[in-house]
Amino acid sequence: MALLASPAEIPGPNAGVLRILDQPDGEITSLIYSSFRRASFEKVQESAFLRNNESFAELRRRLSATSALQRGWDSYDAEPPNTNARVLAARILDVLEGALLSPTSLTPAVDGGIAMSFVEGGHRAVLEIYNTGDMAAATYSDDGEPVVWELDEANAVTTAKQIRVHLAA
Amino acid sequence: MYQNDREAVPGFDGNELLYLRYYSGHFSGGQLLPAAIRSQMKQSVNRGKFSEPEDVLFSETGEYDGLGVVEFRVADIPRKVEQPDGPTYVFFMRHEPQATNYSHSEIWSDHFPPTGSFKSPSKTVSLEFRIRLCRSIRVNIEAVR
Repeated sequence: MALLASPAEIPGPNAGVLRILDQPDGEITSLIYSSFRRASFEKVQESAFLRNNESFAELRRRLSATSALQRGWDSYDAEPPNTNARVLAARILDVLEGALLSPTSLTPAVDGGIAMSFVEGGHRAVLEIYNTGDMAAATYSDDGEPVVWELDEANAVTTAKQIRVHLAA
Repeated sequence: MYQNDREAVPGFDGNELLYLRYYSGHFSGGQLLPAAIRSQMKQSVNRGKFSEPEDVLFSETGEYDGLGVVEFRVADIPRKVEQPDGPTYVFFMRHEPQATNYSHSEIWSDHFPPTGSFKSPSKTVSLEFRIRLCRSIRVNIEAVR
């Protein structure tokens, strides 16, 4: 592969494909590309990790803030989330953080408890953690029947995977 | 808005609008979240036959300032939700006037066949009911808090 030399009348460096004599072009290209790709991948990973950390720190702040709610916080007569719901919600957040699946929102639920919702285009999911200690999960879209199931700590990891698959569909 | 000795009107037309207060945190991705709807107890709403949307926000103390109003039709309420294990539930409207709010109404649930009393739905039935209802809910007055 020949280097493309600048024409004599145009001063400037040579331009074209890098070639090192006696070494296959593919290996050289791969070497340069792989180091570039590794550096980019590490940056992306670091960035995603930091974003995930920040997102979950904010979600935990919101969860903590629900402890200040009073009865009727919804302007009707809703019970505030109790300690039971907050502790369970914190454990579910741990599972979601491990799965790099950040909820779009975390809010108190008017039925008494905590709700986490996920929105990706027309695909949605929700986790609800009630003051009674019960939990429910659902995936749904703009059309079609919602899929609803009982959530517990034992199926939380599977639930996170199901939600990820649904949101990516 | 006052009842003034008026009796309840049990019949609801399917196209009648119902109004509900909401706060901005319960609206995400262009849709009301199921967490904004009550089902374990009766969800209060104002019926459109006897009120305007802004009536839901009326308060002499201003306690509802900044909240929003969503609306849906009576026909948008899922009438029946089944589950694989356990009873089927039906959902329906009841006009329950209050002295200061004649339009006050409630969404009730009962087993199917009906028992004639309020039965809280199971958690999974409740969530499915609220998801299906939220798909039909529209903003009338946007919440700013």
